[in-house]
Amino acid sequence: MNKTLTGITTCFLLLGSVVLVQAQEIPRLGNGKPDLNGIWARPYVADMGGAGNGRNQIGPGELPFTDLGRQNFENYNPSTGDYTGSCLPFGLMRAMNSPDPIQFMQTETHFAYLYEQNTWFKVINLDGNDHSPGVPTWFGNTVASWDGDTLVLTTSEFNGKTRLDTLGHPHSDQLTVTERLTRRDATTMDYEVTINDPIYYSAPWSNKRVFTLQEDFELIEYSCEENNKSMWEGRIKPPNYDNWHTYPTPEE
Amino acid sequence: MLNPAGNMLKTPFMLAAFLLVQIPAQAHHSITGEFDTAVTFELRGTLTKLDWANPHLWYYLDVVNDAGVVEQWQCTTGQNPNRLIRAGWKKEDLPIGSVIRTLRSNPARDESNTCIVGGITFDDGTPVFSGNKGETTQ
Repeated sequence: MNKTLTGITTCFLLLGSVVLVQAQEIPRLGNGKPDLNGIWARPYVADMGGAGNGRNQIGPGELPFTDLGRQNFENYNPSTGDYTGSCLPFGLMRAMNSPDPIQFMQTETHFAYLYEQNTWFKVINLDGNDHSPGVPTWFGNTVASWDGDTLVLTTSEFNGKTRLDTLGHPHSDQLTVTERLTRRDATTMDYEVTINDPIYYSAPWSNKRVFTLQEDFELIEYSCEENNKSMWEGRIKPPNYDNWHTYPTPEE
Repeated sequence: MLNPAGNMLKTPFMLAAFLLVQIPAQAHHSITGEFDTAVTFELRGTLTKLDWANPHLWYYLDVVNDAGVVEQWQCTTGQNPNRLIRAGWKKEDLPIGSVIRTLRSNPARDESNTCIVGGITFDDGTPVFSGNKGETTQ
């Protein structure tokens, strides 16, 4: 009996130690929330569908296009207008899909994406409230929440002038992006993003990837405009947004 | 592949994989609007200028064509200098006046002497601005 009790006690102590060690492996801020600070390397996701699967990222396979979405995707022709080649803002997803490093800066009140790509940034209030400026934007309006140790960023109010990835998967201004950031341990972060756009996709779909901490990195200034000679010399055409908002709403 | 004259050879070459022509290895945007990825060739020429600037490096070459006439070309690898800096490279690692070769080159659709290339080597085939400096592979 005593041996049994001793064994059980030992098991609980060991289990407790394991849990304690695991908890200590995740850096935390003073308020107990996971510390996501750092410069992170991430996979270049040129295709958020299945064809782009590779190291540290996996897509959903065939995307659930609506007829309008498939038509938009099949008609995409960057030779007639390329907004990223023109150095316009990439938008949230295209910026998150970039191969260049990203720095997360986090306090107890705010979280910021600092993109090396084109030296852009996005600052998010962590109070859980909606701080919408009331106008659609390139990177959207984000409301933050915590699901346990996972930071959940829900972004909407996009201007619809961007695409999801280099391959040209479309989105509309009805897009909602839900990002889930979970620090797995001291050096890796799970990143899952769900795309919900009823105009171009019949169901939400997700893409998962793993970010790795780069402790010896510092961000380097990146000016897309500095030497964008392909645009200056006319080989890259600016996009034409005159009729970009021409799809019917779901009620129509 | 260089032609017998050792300078320039253009060879139409259809790439079977759609994604390979649609997505560049390094550029952040689609290249198919600007370049004809169904045509590949290689160049050998003398570097006259190097733009070490974002968003992409550009190389300027004097290339002697089959008729013995010097053609001025400008080519990009789609690389940005930030990644090369982290890999240990400096602009000075490729001196002006070097004879270089462009690998897997695709011409611009506007038919100017402009191309995107899959890599750069010195004349002896040694890669430059490829991988981490000191452990280059091509």
